[in-house]
Amino acid sequence: MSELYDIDSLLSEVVTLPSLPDTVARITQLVNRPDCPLDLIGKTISADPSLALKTLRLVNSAYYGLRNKITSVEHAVVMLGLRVVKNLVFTAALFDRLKAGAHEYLLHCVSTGVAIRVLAEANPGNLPEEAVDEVFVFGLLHDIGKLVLQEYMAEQYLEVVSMVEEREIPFYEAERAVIGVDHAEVGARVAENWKMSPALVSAIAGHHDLAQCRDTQFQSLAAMLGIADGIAKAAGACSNPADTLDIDDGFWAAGGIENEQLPDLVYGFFDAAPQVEELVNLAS
Amino acid sequence: MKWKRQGEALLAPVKLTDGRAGSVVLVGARENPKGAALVFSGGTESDVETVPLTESLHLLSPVQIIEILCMQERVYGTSGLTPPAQFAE
Repeated sequence: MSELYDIDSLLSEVVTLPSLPDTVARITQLVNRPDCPLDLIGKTISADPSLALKTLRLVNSAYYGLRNKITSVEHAVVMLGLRVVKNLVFTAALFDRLKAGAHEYLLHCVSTGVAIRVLAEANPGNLPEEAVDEVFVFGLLHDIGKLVLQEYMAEQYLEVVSMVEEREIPFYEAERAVIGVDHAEVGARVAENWKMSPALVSAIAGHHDLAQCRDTQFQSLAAMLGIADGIAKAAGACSNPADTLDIDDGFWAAGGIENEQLPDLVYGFFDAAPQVEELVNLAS
Repeated sequence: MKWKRQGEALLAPVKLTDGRAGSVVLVGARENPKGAALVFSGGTESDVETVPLTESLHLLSPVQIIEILCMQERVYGTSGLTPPAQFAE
């Protein structure tokens, strides 16, 4: 039996949380400044050619559905506004980080991002106004704690995978049993370390267990993230073949989703499947 | 849910929210109104009801609905989702 940690002892003794790329950290700081000039954002992104290129490819993908092609980062900033561009840059940077996981992991995260956007667009009344633009990033990041645990606790994680396969239990339960901490808790710390929004931190923390949601005002987002995660798995986009479809009963009421709405929501995700493929190719 | 193929159809046993046992039967894509149905016994032993999925959503849990819709799309749909290995042609 391996040693059980709490989140603080895990972070102080074993795990070093990944840092955000410098350019992205700078852009996040700039966007949060009320007096930030738009051209400075454009120039900061353009100074990192790889990030700028990926951002442009992303903004011109079917996912964003823009009629006219955007040819420069400065143009994107003017056209889309700071908040959307911040999410774009963050997504582009995250794609590079998520490539560290297997193709199945990337497919699962992108699928979850597309699924939660479908849910958010259908239920905007339940969400803070700015959340609909942001939720794709929620999907991309929701399992980043798994990458961290796999990197720093490789041996224990093999034990987690064996337990999931043998007992047919969800990963977060096996992680708690083997390590003492689950990927949602670690992922929330990563997001917090990157100074992401409280909504994102709470949603990641609570996406398997609403009781873990840091701030109860974001429980509907956490529930939607958990449901989107489940839809992605049921659609075959699992990061591990042993992964089970496990959505707590309380998520449906918290997410404001009724049985009668489900076919249209799930069909909306199927209709967006080509976007998933395009985004995964873009990231790879 | 434990799915098995029977001819062109996919079947899975399902426990309904009212406690009865039934089966989900998939025979075609979502565009076909009869592509997914729920089969369960009615009032008497010989009385078997077949109800299209869209009219029986109240008898299923949300997770069951998601599983059924996704399996239907993966096996019969055209959106490009990967079918489960055991049902891939």
